[in-house]
Amino acid sequence: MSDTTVLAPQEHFATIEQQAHAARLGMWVFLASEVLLFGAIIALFTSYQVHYPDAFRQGVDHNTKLLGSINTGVLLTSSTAVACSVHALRAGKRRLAGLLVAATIALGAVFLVIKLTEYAKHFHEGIYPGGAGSFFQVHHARGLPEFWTLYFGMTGLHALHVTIGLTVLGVLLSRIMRAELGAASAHRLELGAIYWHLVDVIWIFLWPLLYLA
Amino acid sequence: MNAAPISVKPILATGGALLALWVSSFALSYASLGTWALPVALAIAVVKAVLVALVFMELAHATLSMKLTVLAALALLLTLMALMVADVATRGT
Amino acid sequence: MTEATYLNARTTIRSWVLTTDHKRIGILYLVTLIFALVLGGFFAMALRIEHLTPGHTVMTAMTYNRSFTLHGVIMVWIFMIPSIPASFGNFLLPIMVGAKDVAFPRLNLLSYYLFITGTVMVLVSMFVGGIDTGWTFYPPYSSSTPTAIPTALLGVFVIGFSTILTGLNFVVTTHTMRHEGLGWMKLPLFVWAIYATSIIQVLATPVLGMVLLLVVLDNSLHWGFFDPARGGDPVLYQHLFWFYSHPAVYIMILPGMGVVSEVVATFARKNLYSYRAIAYSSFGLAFVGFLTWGHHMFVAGMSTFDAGAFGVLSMLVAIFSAIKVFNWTWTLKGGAVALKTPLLYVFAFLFLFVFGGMTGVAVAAMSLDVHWHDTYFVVAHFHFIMVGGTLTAFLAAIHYWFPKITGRMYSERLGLLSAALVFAGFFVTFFPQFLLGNAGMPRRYYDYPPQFQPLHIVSTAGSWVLATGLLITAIYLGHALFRGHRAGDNPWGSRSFEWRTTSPPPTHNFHATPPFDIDPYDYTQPLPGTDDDPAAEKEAA
Repeated sequence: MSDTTVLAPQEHFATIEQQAHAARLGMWVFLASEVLLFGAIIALFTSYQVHYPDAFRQGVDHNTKLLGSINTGVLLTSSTAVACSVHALRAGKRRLAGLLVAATIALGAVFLVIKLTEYAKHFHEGIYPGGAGSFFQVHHARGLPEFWTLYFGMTGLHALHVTIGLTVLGVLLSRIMRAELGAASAHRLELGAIYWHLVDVIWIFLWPLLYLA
Repeated sequence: MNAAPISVKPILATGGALLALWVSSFALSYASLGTWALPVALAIAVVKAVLVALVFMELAHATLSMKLTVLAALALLLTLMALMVADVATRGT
Repeated sequence: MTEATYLNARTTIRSWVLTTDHKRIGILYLVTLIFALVLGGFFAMALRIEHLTPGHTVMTAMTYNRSFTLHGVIMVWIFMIPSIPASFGNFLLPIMVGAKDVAFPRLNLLSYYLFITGTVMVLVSMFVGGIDTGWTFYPPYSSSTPTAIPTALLGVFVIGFSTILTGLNFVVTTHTMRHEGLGWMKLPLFVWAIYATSIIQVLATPVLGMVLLLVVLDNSLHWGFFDPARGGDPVLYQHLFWFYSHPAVYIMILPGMGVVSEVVATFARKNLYSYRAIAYSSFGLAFVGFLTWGHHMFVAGMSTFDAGAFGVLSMLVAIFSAIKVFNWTWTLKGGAVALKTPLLYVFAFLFLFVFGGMTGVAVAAMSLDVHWHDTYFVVAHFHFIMVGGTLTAFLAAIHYWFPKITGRMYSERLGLLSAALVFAGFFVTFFPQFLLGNAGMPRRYYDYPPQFQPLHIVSTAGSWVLATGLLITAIYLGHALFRGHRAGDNPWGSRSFEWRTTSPPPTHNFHATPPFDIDPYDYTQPLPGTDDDPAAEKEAA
């Protein structure tokens, strides 16, 4: 199915507006289910945090705060960029939109590189999921292994979502460059952008929980 | 809701606000807030998330069905966290 | 047959397995579900035979553990969760809202194949070590058992993904695909029920998916999310598990309630007593269902404060259930009741659901639950709701919509006979289990003291009656599929929307604009096209 500037709806839809509305609502319902997916592990994290406040305090203090905080800025900027790209594509500025999506992808890649650097640092210090590694031979606080296991679980799941988001944006970028997406079909880019914003919103909450306080 | 915002200014202003909140949250983490550190950091996170949702994700212009979808998800998430944490917090030793 | 229907439009195998027609996907689900029901039923029969005598009867203790686990996993996730929504919901929801298809037809097909993939993974786990944890997969045991936990749990995870996508499709279809001028308050109540179910599916299933992944990581990589040795807390697993699995009961029962609403109105030939009360109480149940999960954990080490809160919240469920039950019974009062097979199943539903529901209020009281927890009393309670509720509603749906789906009619006498057998067999199987549980028989025990044997024998005998009833049903429905006489477009003289097109419907559901100007439960005025129906003439006279 390739798009031209004049769009015909799929045959079970009456109009292209109805189709776009369905696609948008579908994306929101999907995001609602993603919120509960992350919500489950965040609820587990919070429960352990209430149970072991001191161990979790230790974990946060020991975390790679500077790198995690830089990453927050990277994602916030990328979100702004992709929001601008949707705006540009609607206005018919296809080239600008493509550049902004490319910038978003670049920032997302930077995020992943920084994230992997952090993991490398943790492994170097002997911190592995499941309380394995030399770090836990020295630090015995009860609940500390749960902090790090959940840290790896939450950031790992988030990184997986970043990767999916980058793939989606990559496909959209190639379609913008081949002029398959334009002002008339901007809602397709919009859906990818909404997904990217959700990945951003989840990080907005992971950052204070895991790095700040 | 197809009536997209005409100007790019709100997007750039929101981006600026997000970065300002990011910096202030980082700075506040060095203030000795004690038990208030996490609530304050999470409150700033909520403001940022609301900005992203309303402006970037255009929830402010979305249909009622989309707003209700988001509200239902948030209500259930809060229920899960509240009743789960309540158990841990009110257990005897 | 000269008329073009969705069945004869194209007949190649490819046109079935790669179809995006919601009606054909509904049929694919229906066939798969019946296969799952037979398989889960096979394990149930084996378990009942094992309990004919104390100690070893036909299987070892390990086989027993694996059998009750598979019985639970198959019945819950491969039969009951998808049962009515995936089959009848798929077939009927787009027709009932006057659409040509669901909003995302290809996603719908993907859901089906995800469901098949997950099912195959669960079945494969049977052959690579089995699982012996019970369908609830509680850690710490599930974190450490060497059986095929990762395969089975990832299978359930994939099925969950399929459930989410189906729910998403139905939510979007109901919102965006309704025929012009068809407002929410004109929709058939089955749509309301499926819609409320879909919301639970979309919002609860991800929590299950997450927690199952964590158990898989615990079991295969020893990450220890719930391992007490590493500071983990198995009770928190139970919180997350039941946050999904209690609402899952409403995923099973709400669509059944939608079927009951349709059947009651059609066979009482009356408008429902209160459309709004039934519609809104579906949402009430969906919402309250999310606040009650802790009543599964009263003796798990949860705080007394939380347990008290959950006990009170659980009893709210009874309010919304009672609203529905009183509405249905009041609708039947004074109606022109035609006691056909679907209605007989609905009577069975009402009796078993009320009985099971009342015992549910009893076990929601913490002091009583401490006595009954993990005994056969609880087993009997949830079988009354899940089998007595969902299975009878599923059978009511099969009989009610059989002429809609196939265009043919089954033998009414055999239908009534097997409905009576199913009801009697069910009651004889599970009523003794209340007595067993109250006397102290724990669930999931291989062995039992000799004084429990008489009640176990009665229960096993009941299971044979139940199986006989289902076997007869399978035979006459199979026969009717090919040899049944033509049913006509609307054999029940129903006013509901799905009967306003031909039976079986054409590929795009309606031949012209959907004729929805008369409400789906309005029996006061003649419906064009059904006036030659004798029952309708009597009503009009």
